This record gives sequence, C-alpha cells and structure tokens, in this order.
Amino acid sequence: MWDVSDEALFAGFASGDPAAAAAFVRRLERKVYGLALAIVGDPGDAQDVAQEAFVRAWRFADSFDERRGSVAAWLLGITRNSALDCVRGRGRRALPTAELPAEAGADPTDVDEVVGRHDDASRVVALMRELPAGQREALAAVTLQGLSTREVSELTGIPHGTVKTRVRLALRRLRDGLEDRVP
Amino acid sequence: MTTEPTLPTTCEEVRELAPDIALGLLTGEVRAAALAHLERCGACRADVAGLASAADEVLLLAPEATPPPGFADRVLGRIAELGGTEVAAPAPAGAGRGAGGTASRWRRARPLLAAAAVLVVLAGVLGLALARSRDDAPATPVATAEMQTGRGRTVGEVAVSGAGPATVEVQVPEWDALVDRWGTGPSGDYHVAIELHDGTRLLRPVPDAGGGDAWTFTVEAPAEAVATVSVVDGAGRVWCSGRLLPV
Ligand SMILES: [Zn+2]
Repeated sequence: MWDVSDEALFAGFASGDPAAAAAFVRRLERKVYGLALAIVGDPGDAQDVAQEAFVRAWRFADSFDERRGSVAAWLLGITRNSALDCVRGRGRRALPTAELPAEAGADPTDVDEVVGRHDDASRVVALMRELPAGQREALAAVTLQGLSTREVSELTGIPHGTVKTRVRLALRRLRDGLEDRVP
Repeated sequence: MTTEPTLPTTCEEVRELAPDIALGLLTGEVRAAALAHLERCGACRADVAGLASAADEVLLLAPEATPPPGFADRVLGRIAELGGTEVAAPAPAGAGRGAGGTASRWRRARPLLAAAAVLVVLAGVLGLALARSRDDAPATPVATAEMQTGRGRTVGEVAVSGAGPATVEVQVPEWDALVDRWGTGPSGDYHVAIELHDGTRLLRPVPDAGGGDAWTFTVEAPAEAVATVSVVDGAGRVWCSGRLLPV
C-alpha cells in the first residue's frame, strides 16, 4: 500500500504526518519488537522497549544521518539501547540457559534463509558470512542478544579476553566491508 | 594483552576500545574516560560512529516477531501525547483529516522553547526554578544558549551564572519522560560535556532518572569561561549542543 522507502516514511513520521507515522510504525514494528524480545525475553517488557524505541526515534529524529546507514538499522540501534537500559535497570538478568543461537547465519544454510527474510540486510549477511565462526558468533551474541562479552564468556567457556578480541575484530571487519561498498 | 583498569587517554588506547564504545560495552570510569577523549577528538569520534553504524546493520538480522494487537496505535498515541496535541487516526488513503479538514500536525515546539527575544527572561525564571534546592538567591545568567541538535532543532536551553565557581543550568524538556520508565535506566549513559574557552572539557553524568529534565552543575571557573555545553550519549554522539552567548 505504501510503496515508498522507509526513509520517506520516516521523514513524515519525524515531521508529524499522522498517516506516514502510522505507516512507518506498522512497517517496522515486527523488526523492532522482535529485537526487543530477543534481548529482554519478556513480552511485556519487550512491548515497552519497542514503544520507547519509536518514541526516542521520533524525539531524536534529527540525529539520524542517512549517509551512515538505513533508517531501519538506526531504529534497531535505538531499540537495542532501550532494551539494554531495561535489562540493566532491572538488575542482572538470568542468562539464557540454551546455547547461543546460530542466528545471523552461523552456517550457510541459515544465511540463505536470513537473506530471504531480510532482503535489505544482504550486504551485512554476506560480510558476516566471511567472518570466522568464532568472531561471527561473538558479535551476534553481543548485538542480537544484548549480551556483554563477560556473559558470552560465561556461556561459552571461552576466555573473556578472547571474546573481547573476537568482537572487536568482527566489528572492525564488518565496518571496513560496509564502508568499502558504500559509494 | 591490555590490562583493564588502565584508563584510555591516547588516541591509540581509545581506538583499541572503539568497538566496545560503539557497542555500549564499557562501564564506569573507563567509559567516562573514553567519552572524554571522544569529546575532544573528532578522528576517534568518527571511528566510533562508523563502528556503531556497522553494529546497527547487524541488528537487521534479528528475528522478527509480531507485537500484541494495538501496539502501533499505542505508540502513535504516546507520541501524540508527547507532542502535546491529539493525533488523528491514520486517514484512509493518506488524506489529512481533523476538525477543520486540515491534516493534524503534531506540535513539535516544546513549551519552554522560547524565541531568542524572551530567552534571557526565561533563563532568569529557569534559574529561579533550578535554585529551589539551594538557599542562595537565583543568580543572573551571564550567558545563555539554546541546545540544538546537529540539524538545528532546538530541544532545550542552557544558562551559566556566577563568578566562579560557575553554575551551569541545563534544561531539556521531557527528558525525564523519556527515561523515567527505566528506573535506574539510561541516565548513566548520558553525560553533559562542558567545554571552556581554554579548551578544558568537563564531563558530568546526567542525573539519575527522576532527577527531572533540568540539571545544575558547578564548574570551578567563572561563567564567562564556559564556551559550549552538550549532551552526549553512551557512544559519544552529541545529541544536542549550545554555544553560549553573553546576555
Ligand atoms: Zn583520538
């Protein structure tokens, strides 16, 4: 129905156009809520976090810089921050008991599935795929699950220093790759 | 291997930690030291900003989930509330609607966002309000500024007063509304950076949630020495900034 870019809808959302705002929220609510849920675990908290993320995006719309990436990625960055605030605000949470998921394409089959689900994420998927598995998993745990490097270390038994190094290397490689491909 | 307690001060030390800063992994004085460096070093700031954007891209891979029914309406209602006006429900076919047939606009101006002409008066009132917990008489501002985002939108005000120590009063309307739901939440992630004309930069944490949207800081220098005041986030990004002008 709204055959316009996320960025165009966001401009309307930021400037107070009710129709564009509604379309913007409805288009991105599944991503925002999904990430919030992945980090905070509880559906009620996730809803609060997701709402807060949209409110912050509206409040700080001027700080979005389209040269740095898509509005969806920027909004998800805000969502992650809101989720971390929530998790930290209620004290140390219980760590997930399950192993770290193979999200973000730990194996190529998953990557293909992820690419299919997120067509706008194909660049980052390709770059994630090029990372060594240990780096990719560490970065995914910190970003998509909102874990600290110490929590990743406790969950995996990998020394904390190694986890930190892997996260740093992974993020640098990713950044370099993304910047190379931006005209 | 780096030993953790060393506070990062040089570009090299900050660059090593740049991914941690971008991912919000630092805490306490290490983060404060890193942020202080970012405040005065554009090159490191750009490095962190690039890494933060890359980290955001990874988040596109998060699993999607359907929020509870009515979620979007609650979000839009909340934003309308913050904007101070009633927002119209999305109109069919995207047409504007409202009592007068014109599109309903969220009023973005905040009550305290005054025109420059009344800013001085307002700062005086503000000083009075802010001084409520102190027993001294409200000081007369020596310099004031609007706090603006990078694109020039005014989101708050700052006023400095006093011959030394100077009082720096910052007000960002509705700040509290943003953070109060988080309890001990994100206020620790935000700092007010006060830059003096001699190049000194001071970093003060934004008070805990519940501390309101008006903050007072003391600086061991005369008010005239304060050049700019900014609010920076946990990744060192400047959210708003004001360059002080004499009253
Ligand atoms: Zn530097």
